[in-house]
Order: sequence, then C-alpha cells, then structure tokens
Amino acid sequence: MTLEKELERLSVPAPTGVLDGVVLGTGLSDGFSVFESPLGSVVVAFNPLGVSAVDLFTDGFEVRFSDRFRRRLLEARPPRGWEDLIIQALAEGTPGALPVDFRSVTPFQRQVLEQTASIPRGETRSYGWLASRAGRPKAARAVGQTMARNPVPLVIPCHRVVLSDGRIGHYGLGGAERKRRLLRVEGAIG
Amino acid sequence: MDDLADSLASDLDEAFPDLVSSLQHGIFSGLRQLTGDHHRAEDLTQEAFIRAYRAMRTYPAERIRAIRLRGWIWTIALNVARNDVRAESRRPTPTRLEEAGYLPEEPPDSEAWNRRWTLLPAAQRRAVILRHVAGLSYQEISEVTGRPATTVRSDVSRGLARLRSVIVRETNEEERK
Repeated sequence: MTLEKELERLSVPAPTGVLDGVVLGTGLSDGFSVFESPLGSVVVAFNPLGVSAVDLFTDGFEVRFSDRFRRRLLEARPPRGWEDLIIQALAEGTPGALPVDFRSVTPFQRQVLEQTASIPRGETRSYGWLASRAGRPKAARAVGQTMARNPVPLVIPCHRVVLSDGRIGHYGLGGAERKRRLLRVEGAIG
Repeated sequence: MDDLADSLASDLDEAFPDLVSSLQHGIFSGLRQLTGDHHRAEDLTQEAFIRAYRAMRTYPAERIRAIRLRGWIWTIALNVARNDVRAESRRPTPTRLEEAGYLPEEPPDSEAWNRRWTLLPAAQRRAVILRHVAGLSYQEISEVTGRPATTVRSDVSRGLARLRSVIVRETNEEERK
C-alpha cells in the first residue's frame, strides 16, 4: 500500500455524539432529562441559557415541546451543577439559582413569571395581586394567560396563583385537581 | 459546498446540522491525528463547530454565502486546538450513546501513527495531515495556515519523504528482531 493510501485510511467517521453535542451546545436542540417531582415524573428541558420547559413525562412530550418551542429535544445530561439545582427547584417550587430560559414569553409575561417565583411555599396569591406587582393592576386576564403559558411549571410556582374569590382556577400541568393536590402538600389549603 | 453556503445564508439554524454532518468526519480525523487523542479530538471538533455557529449568527447573509466553508472551519479548528480550549460548563451533553455501550471507532495503527507524527516538524506534520487525512487542497491549506501554497507543497512532500524513511526504519528494526 502506498503511504498516501495508508494516510487516507486514517480518515474515520466522527463519533456519533459529535453532531448531538454540537446541536446541544449551540442551542439548536434542547436537552431533556426525567426527574421526580411532587406530581410524579416530569421532563425538564434545558439549553445553555437555562431551563426551558417542564412537562409531565407522558406520551407526546417531545411533540408538545417542538410544537411550542420550534426546537427538537435530545436526551441529555444537564450542564454541570444544574442537576442538583433542578432537583431542588422541583422539590421547593422555586427556581432558586437555576437559570430559566424566558425566550418563549413576552417581556411582560417574563416580569409576571419572575414575580410568581417570589410567592413563598405554603401561600397563594391572586391574579390581581400579580397584575399589580407587574405594574399593570388591570391586567388580571393577561396574568391568567401568562400562567397558562408558564414554560416551567413547578419551577415557577404558577400553582400558587388562584382566583381572588378563593376558587382554585386552571392548571396547565394536568388540571385543577393536581393544582389542589400541590397546594395541599405545601400546606396552603386544608 | 457552495449550495450549503447558500442554505446557511438563507436559514442558518435549519442548514447548520448539514454543515456538521458533511464536514465533521474530516475535521475529526485530522484533529485525531494532530492531537493523538480520541476524546480530545471529539471535544475540539464539537467546540470548533459551536464557535463557527456563533460566528455565523453575527454575520449578514452575503458574508455567510461568501465563506469557503471547509477552510474556514479548519481555521477555527486549528485555533481551538492551538489554544487547547476546554468546553464551557454551561452545556448539556448527550447521554444516548453512553447508555448504548457505544465504542468509538479508532483509526488503524493508532500507536504507530502517534509516534510517527512526533518525528515530523510541526509544519510538515500539519500539512501532511490536512492534505492526506483531512483531504484539503494545497490552496485550502495555504489559507488555513497562512503559508504560501508553494511552501505548503514542499512541507507535504518533505513530510511524506520523512514518513517513508521512518516507516522503512521501523520495518528494518522489525526484521532485525
């Protein structure tokens, strides 16, 4: 064999992980892992900017994700140090030091969600209270829509936002019954 | 490659995985020989593409269309290798392959080649690897390394000559044993 041919043989396929690593590292796809939460197994999606989505670990979560966020999901390990932060955020119902990717919501919605994150465990607030805190006291309806659009339920505790007359209201992550269960576990309702 | 540059210019996010698919094998194989380390080469290949993507995101479409892709990515790859860049920690990493018990495909005679490359001057080693492992043209190598094409040609032919004599010596030693 000529030397040139021998050198050509040193050309081998790149490891299969390279492409996945690149799409995850650029944020073209989000990574996901499954975690335990007070509502059972949930899928947590993440990219270099932060945690981008939390959903129930049920059939079709990948389709639901790509329909909403227009990116694909790949099974992945979270960035170094985030795994503990995710476990903690899910258990306590607050993001803490975990970064959140808010690109999927408007600046107003982001403000509302950041206020929501400050509602302490074991307490609830009304949509009107949140609207005032976000600087638009008459926007209770927009706040309601924001809760429905919360990309990271449990991590941002939209389940702690209820109607001012005490009714429990909607819950995107599996309906009002789950919201009630969460609030009961947290000691916010009897 | 020109078609790919057009696609990247019109929809970077859509076309970028195609760029990775078409160039990753050459980049990885070249870096594998340059570094002598499989995992290092894998990391550097990823890093080079991630940097390429970030750079392209800041470019207007005409500029992307004008990029000569292979040489451009190789320029980034050599930079990343030279500076021995480590991946940022804020990055998700794929898990699928580890779970499948995946074994990487090693090029033949790894140990012999790792040793042979150390016997070449750096410029010759780089030129031979870019030309005969990664498959770049002399012109591309000249653009990537900043050395005149005529110099690159002589780097390659001297490098090959040197490798031949190294291999002859190896064979003689084998026979003596």
